[in-house]
Amino acid sequence: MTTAFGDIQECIRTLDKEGPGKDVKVLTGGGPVDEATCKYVGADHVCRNAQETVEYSKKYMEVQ
Amino acid sequence: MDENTKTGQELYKEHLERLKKAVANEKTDRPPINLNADAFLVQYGGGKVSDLVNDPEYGNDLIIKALQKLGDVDCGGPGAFPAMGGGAFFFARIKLPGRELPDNMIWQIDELRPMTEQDYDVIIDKGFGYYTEQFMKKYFPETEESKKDMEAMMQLGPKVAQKYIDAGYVTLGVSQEGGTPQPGMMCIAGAPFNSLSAARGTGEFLRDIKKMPDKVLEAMNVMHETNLKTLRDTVRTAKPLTVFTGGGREAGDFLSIKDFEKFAWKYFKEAANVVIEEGSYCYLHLDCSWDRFVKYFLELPKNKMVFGPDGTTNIFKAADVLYGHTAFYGDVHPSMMSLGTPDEVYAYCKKLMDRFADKGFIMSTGCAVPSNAKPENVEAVVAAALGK
Repeated sequence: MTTAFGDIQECIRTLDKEGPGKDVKVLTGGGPVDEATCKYVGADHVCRNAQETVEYSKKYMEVQ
Repeated sequence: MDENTKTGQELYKEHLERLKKAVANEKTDRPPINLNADAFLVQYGGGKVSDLVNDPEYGNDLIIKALQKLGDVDCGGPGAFPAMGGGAFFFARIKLPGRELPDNMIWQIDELRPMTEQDYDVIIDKGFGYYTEQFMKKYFPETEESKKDMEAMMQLGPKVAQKYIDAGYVTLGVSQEGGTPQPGMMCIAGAPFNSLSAARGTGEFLRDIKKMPDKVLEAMNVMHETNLKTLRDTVRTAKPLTVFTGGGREAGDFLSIKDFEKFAWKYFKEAANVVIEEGSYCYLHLDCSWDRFVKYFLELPKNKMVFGPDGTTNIFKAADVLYGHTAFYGDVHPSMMSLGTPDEVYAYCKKLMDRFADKGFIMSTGCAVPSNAKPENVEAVVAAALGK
């Protein structure tokens, strides 16, 4: 997966430039992904597991 | 005498003794270094990843050259041959560099998920071997290319393995008497969970566990009985130092503790016990986060396992529970290997050394060295282990 980091970065840059931009939060995760990867690819948050993804999304969407 | 003046035979003996002590959780003069790094090393040696596919002997010569360039690395073994990536283990097509993929791209698993709900009955009635055979006939009929790959592996395998031995390298699966077990003597242990999860696909399989738990368990029991017999026979014949005892999909966040115990741990523990009963050590190759399950390894005999997380499990927290019970292996994070600096890698390795290196520790990265790891980061791992 580390070989895909560059492509993920490009994808997020395209989203920022041509997509809905800051209205969209990009979450990243998976075994080889950590905080450094999150920063490198330009994601908003790194989720260590599925539960963390749900928690983050609920918080962002202001869902109880 | 430094490593540059030692013969391959002398290095082999030294590396083997060091590795044996480390897996037995005993003191070593320094941690043995094991780099699971074929895709990285073939490039570091001046070649392309596809060299391992198109000319495996040449590709492995480059790996040996790369290992020698890195310094006194203890462990190294043959890189992947095309036929090894046949896909049966993952119920997948394996796309290979130099064939379906560009030369320097790592091989890719394209899961087929061929198993249906009805296939549980096929496994229960006719066995998992029968099911796998039918799968292979349908999805991987023998072709000229697959025949050629298999012949190359059978012919080249022992020759290439001997080259590593002559250069002084040992593998975790080395025969206890020295030397590499013959082809076909590869030992792998684990729970049926992983095979079924690959065959059904993770999502469907997790639904099966809730929807038809008894049927899943019945199929698992059939598979497990066959697996244990094969495992015991193979370990008894090959007598490997360690057996790859793998876990991944049953860990992490996919299962509750109750389901982990019922669908995974029971089988995993029995398989690990077979390895130990037959006189080998379990190399616990643990993908995903085992943070919640670390304590379960206390149920297995002391000093008979090497705990090898992939960088996701917190190895230092695991040590609070398992230090003194298992040896440790690890675990520089793949992200750090590809994005970090040599100073960061070196500092992390020193932290590992401070916690573990008085005994029973093998220096490595989590799971495998990424193919795009920075060369200077791999050099930093080796330098830290060598105390440079």
